[in-house]
Amino acid sequence: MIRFILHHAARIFVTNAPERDALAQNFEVPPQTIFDASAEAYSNAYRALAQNSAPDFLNDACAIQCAEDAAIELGWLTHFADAHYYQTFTPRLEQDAARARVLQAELLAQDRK
Amino acid sequence: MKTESLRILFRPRRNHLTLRGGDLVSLEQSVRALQALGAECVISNDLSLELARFDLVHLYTFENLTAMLEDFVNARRSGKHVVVTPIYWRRQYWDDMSERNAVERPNFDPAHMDVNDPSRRALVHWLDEQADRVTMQLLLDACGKIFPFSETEGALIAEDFNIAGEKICTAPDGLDEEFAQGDANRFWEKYAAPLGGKRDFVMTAARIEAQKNTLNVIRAWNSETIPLVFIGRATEPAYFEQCRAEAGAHVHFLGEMSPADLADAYAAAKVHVLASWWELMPHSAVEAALAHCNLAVTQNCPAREIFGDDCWICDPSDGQSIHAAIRAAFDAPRQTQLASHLRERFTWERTGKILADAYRQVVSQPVLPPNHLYLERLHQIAALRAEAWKLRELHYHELEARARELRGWLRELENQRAARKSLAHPLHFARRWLKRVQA
Repeated sequence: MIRFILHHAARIFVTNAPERDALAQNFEVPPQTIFDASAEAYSNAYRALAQNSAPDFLNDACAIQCAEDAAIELGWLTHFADAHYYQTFTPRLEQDAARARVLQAELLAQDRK
Repeated sequence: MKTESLRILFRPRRNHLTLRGGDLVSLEQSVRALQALGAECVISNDLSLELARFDLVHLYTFENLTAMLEDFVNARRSGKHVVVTPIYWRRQYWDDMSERNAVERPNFDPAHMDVNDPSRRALVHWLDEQADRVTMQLLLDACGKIFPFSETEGALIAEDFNIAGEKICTAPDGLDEEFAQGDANRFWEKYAAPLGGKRDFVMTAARIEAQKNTLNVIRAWNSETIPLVFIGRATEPAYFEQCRAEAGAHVHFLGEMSPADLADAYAAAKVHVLASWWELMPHSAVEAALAHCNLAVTQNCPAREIFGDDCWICDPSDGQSIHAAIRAAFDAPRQTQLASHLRERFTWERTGKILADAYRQVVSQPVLPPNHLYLERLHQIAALRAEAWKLRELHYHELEARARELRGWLRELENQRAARKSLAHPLHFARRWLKRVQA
């Protein structure tokens, strides 16, 4: 999602150099879309953008890459969550419940004595 | 392009190293056949592998569709041709799949947020299935060639996904002659005692699991005394327990065997039964046929295409049908002609040639850029997965809440027990006794 937004933003404003480097390195953001944030930079950007029409996302190779990433990431998200909850979490929950039942029975038996 | 200069990257299932199966046998044998023709083949799941040196990428098995989509995208971004061995069969026969196979979207109103509503689970399964099917459609449309194992599988793919016939190229598996070389005496040396002496028996070589329908076979054959032998790994512990609980004394579970030992078992058995809910390629039945076993085979596989009339077909959902097929196979004289018919039709050399010809055809064409439909399908997949995720989250939150509550209760119980133990200490007893005396 972050990649999608960054790649489709007309301009990206950063407040310092490490942020600029991080965006370029981690999300392959084209350097020409990154600008230092300032009141002047904002107003220049708005004026420039107002003169352009919205980009055609559908024919954009980047839109395809983002859609691919989204379909894959969401697929893995459900896959690994299922693996975690059904193969690890639930059996542990059942073990805890069994342990609780044993302890409760033990305490009840003591009460009856 | 000559076969000698073809360089192919095979992408198997991600879990192929820990869970071997017929698909992997098929892949490895195909690779050997291609290498014998001079092609360079690499089997790898490594997504960081540099693809420049390969002519095309061959994806194997519609098992984990997200993994396959990832492999496809990896190849597409490197500008590579992609071909697919889908291993596809309709699954609507299987009762366990009824939620996934529902034709209509199950009704569930997330506004009510009732996590225990069975329709929530039904909707999650339905959404998963829809996402998987759109992914299959995307892959089948976008790849250069599709390799089903049988004409029957190819016809199902063409019909269910509206795929043009020229894109489908049937590449049947060859035979492994090792299974014709078994020695029944070696088997009896080990197993005569548990099986009650040397006698004809019925066997199944398959994993013991729900899809293989082990339980229905046991139930169908429980009224008989003829031994029923299962050879294979149990992959689902609860299911295996149920199988063992329902099995009569004549049912034997011999576990997993090496191919050589399995060949000996085929040589000793009279009938091989494979009553799975579905089978794409009934590998073990083919192996058993080489050892002259009579075959009882599920109707949900290309049995007639492979074995012709030399097998007895059963409906996996119907115990009487399974029993009748096994009984008829057992009562019939042992088949002798089928093995030679199979040898004529199925060889790995032929499989290798079919694949190599198809690869050359694919690489002679340019790699087409993704079209409008491709992007649309990706959006559909993401939307379906996102909706399924939202519904899952409901359940996960409920599980987390239950776990927190349970941990609190467990802590309380443990504290109580610790407190009682300390009260039971002799010193405490003496103090309490003293107090009582003083009072």
